Amino acid sequence: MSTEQRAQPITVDVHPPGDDRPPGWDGNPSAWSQRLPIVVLALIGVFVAGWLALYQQEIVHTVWEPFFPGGTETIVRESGFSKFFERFPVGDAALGAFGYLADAVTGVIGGTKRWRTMPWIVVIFGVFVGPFGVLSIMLVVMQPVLYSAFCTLCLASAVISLAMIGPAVDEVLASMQYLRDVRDDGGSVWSAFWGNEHTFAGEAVVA
Amino acid sequence: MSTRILARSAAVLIGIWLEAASAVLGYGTPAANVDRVLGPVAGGIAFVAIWAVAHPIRWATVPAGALLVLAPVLGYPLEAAVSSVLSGLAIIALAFVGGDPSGDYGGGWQALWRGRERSCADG
Repeated sequence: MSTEQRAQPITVDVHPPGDDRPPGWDGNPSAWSQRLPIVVLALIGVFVAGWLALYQQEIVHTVWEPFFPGGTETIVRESGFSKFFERFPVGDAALGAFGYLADAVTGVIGGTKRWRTMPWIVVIFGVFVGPFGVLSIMLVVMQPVLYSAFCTLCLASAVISLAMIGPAVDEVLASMQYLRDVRDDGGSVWSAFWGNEHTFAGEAVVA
Repeated sequence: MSTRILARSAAVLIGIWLEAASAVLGYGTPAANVDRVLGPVAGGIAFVAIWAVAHPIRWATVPAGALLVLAPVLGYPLEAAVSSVLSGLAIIALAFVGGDPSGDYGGGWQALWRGRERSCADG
């Protein structure tokens, strides 16, 4: 990108009423075709983390571990990280499963224009998806460095949570652009955040 | 396949290599631990940056690459030093490949701090 381009103001075309795409976007990040894959990934995450949780709580006694013999047991039952969670009502794997469930639920709520009609749910969705990815990288680092072991399903879980970030973050961007536009138009960002749609100067009011 | 996807995938593979390198080449700490911290960090970030809208996050792999280039001063065996320096240089170089996503995203992330003008095509 050249400095000349940088100096140019960004101008975006507002799509006509009935077109759910955000201004200046070729696609609609809130469309079901964009959101369903994330929800499917999240549900796979619920399954993977849920299995690890059942194994961790010793409710089931077998776990899929084709690559690192004894690795899953070391990580989810014996590691200091997992032991730390024994003082709480739920273990770290169960928390992970709940996190994926939250991803799935916040991915489903709202219609195909929710980047504008429900910025709050999009932001909550982003908060569940984004920091989870950071946490996943930390957990991948901890396995060999602190516990000299790997756990196949834990690694799979990390890949799933990282794979959700890219598809999810576009919707967050669209919502944040909208809120920035509201502020520049003199509207209340707080009100727009909670779903009171702002009508821009010169924009047709959609019933 | 776009150069963005190829470049990011290459960086992911380097991250995976770093995760395995100490076992493959047979070296221990400190090199093994540095590799297995920076490998997942750089590889994980590069993986997220495969998606066009998240592509700018690839720049966050550059500090990890720089640390890999510098890390052999901690006292690495030769094979670990070669692996670390080459991996680090490759990660840095790859960040410059793939370009910026086209303006299909309403001005992208920079619209958030620069603001933007809305134009209604049909008046």
